Amino acid sequence: MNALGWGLLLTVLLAGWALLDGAVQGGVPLVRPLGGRDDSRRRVVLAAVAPFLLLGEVWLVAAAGVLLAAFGHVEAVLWAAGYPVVVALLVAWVVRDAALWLRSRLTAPRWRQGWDVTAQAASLALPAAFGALAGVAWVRLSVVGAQADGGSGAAQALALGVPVVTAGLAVATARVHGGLVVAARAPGTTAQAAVRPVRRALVPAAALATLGALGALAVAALGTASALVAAVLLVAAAGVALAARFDLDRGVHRSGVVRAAGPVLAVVPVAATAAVAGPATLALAASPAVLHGLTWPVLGAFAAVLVAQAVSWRVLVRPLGPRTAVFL
Amino acid sequence: MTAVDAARLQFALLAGTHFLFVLVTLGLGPVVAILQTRWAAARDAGRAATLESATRFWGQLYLVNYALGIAAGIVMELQLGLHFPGLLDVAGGVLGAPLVIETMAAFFLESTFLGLWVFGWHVLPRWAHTAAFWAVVVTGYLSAFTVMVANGFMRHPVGFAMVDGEARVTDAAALVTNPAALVSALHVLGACLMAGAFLLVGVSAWHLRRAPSRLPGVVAAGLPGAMMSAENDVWRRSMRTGLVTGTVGAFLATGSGYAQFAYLQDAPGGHPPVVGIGYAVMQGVGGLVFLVGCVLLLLLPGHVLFRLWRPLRTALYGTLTVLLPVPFLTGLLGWVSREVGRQPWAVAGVLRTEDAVSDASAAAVITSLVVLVGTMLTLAVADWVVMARLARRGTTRLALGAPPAEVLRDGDHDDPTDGVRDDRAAVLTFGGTR
Repeated sequence: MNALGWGLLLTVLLAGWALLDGAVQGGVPLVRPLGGRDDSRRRVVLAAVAPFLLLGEVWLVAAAGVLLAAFGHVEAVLWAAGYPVVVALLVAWVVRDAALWLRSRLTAPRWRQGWDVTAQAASLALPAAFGALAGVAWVRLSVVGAQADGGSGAAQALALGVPVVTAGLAVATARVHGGLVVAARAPGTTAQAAVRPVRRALVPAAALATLGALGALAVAALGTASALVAAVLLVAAAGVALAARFDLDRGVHRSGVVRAAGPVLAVVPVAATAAVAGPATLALAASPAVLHGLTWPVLGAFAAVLVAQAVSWRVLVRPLGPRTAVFL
Repeated sequence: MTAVDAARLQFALLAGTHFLFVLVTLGLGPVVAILQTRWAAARDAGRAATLESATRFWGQLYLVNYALGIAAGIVMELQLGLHFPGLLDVAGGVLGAPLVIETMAAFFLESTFLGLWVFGWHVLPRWAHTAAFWAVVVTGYLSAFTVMVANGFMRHPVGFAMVDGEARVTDAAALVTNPAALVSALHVLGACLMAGAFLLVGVSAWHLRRAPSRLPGVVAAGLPGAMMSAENDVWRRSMRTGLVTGTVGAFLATGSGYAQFAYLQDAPGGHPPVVGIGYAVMQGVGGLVFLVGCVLLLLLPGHVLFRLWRPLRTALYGTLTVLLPVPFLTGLLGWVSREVGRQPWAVAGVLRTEDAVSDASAAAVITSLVVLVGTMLTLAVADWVVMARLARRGTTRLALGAPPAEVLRDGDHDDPTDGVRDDRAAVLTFGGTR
């Protein structure tokens, strides 16, 4: 497998994480608003996203493994430029996981409520940190970084603004996606209540995607042509978000557009980042000998993982019912 | 403190925290798998109920431990790139291979199967559910082995050639059969089995020591023919299992520990006092655990152990509970010996640690040290408090594997608001109104 193949694998892994873990990132902030003061209601919301936790976050772990093995120099560039963001990402991730696993283990109300607040904060910080890191990749793995270092005012503005926009975009898209997952899996009134925050998040998501598209156009204008693809993807995502909002306003909650909006929006920050940063990433890939030597073990492993995950999803993804295992 | 010291201290503290969870994951995993297999195969209803309780109790502790283990592992994974980019620049071509296999194959599958095990509890057929946990155990061990291949290469580099200042794999088989990977993995396996066993024995002994006050007199006296409570049966089984795995683990750890001296003798690196102390403590603990384990195993036939003279029995149970931290402290000392013993090298004879660290400022590294280590230690302590509470609670009110309505009602006394109650009934039964 050449550098392009490894780049595609990395993109697929990151997109898988955004899709699966995004359900948790977006669903957990709904625990307190939808559950209110009733603990079992809160746990129903948690149960709706629970299977996505273990099966989702490994995709980012695997992506980090591929980054380390095949794109070690990219990792060095990103970590050097985004050091505080990486630390924030780690802290948010770890705190969210601990909060979700520990909250229901003891029954004291204050213990549970405390962890719920923690989980909610960490679930906002996690996509924000990931989005900001993606923004750092836009800057450092395109012409923008070098031009900003060279003193170009436009490039410096982009270097500051892009991570902020992508961070906001990741938060808004996760919120839409997670809310739709809760709406699809939770029972009755909880599901209906989950649609409201989705509706509210769609317009900010569309606005941020449009801003991101403008940023991508600016990156393209400065010289990284592949950013045009990102602009197109982001405009399309904004369109999907607005169409979904239109359907929800009409009271149509289960149209194709609404159903597609979650996955499309969840994945678009990763896809756009891959388009902007792709060429520079591939140029910094490890030597062909290293890439070639790892091809078969990694592809074999990935095939096994896909089978295992497909089987798991068949078993686990169904609306909550008497045979649902509640643990979180 | 220089950036190098701060980066090393941060790595050491995070790796140490991670390893404390690994000890339980790898030590308890096979035990839970065996308990569940015997539960799945049990024909007698009473025996099946006991084994189900045991599986769910230890499985729940396994999960609560795993939750923080994975979190600590994630923080570890990014430490290399964050603070030791030189290691990846020079040895990335070699270290990348086991680490990408670890994440892509082993850990990815492990987490997937664990999710399937927990959340597919009431859906999967019995044998498929048992197989899912065996898959967790196997992939968990594969994961540990690949990490030991990477670490073994750093300690005793083989099967590589330097090309333009970068290490390249020339002999993958040599990398895998490296004694610093194979023998050391066996050593770690022994240590993990020992740690899992101390947990089993310590917790079971705690419950057995308190059992008399909770049981009718005849049972408490342990007289032959007396009925034994189902819960007591769980602790006796767990105690027996722990004694077997602990003795086997001590044998493995001690045997493979001595075998490691073969490649350590000609390895470069200093021998500061802490390494010598570490070796001595490990030899002492391993040997003692093996001897005492053999003696206690001899007391198992005919349940002699559970019928000892009561003051002696109580004292024994108390001691076994107090000793619970021993394999964990010894395990930490083991890693300190291994890593300090390799210094000043990051990869023995190839790359010095000081040449591997990033050029991040000391202030930045110290800040991340405080933030990451502080967060991790706080969460770890919270996790251990929860584990202790769950261990003391015993087999009552287990959340793992319970019907959803029962689990959702566990905090019922929290919220006596009557207005919500009617609404909640619909939620509890997951009434599909759509």
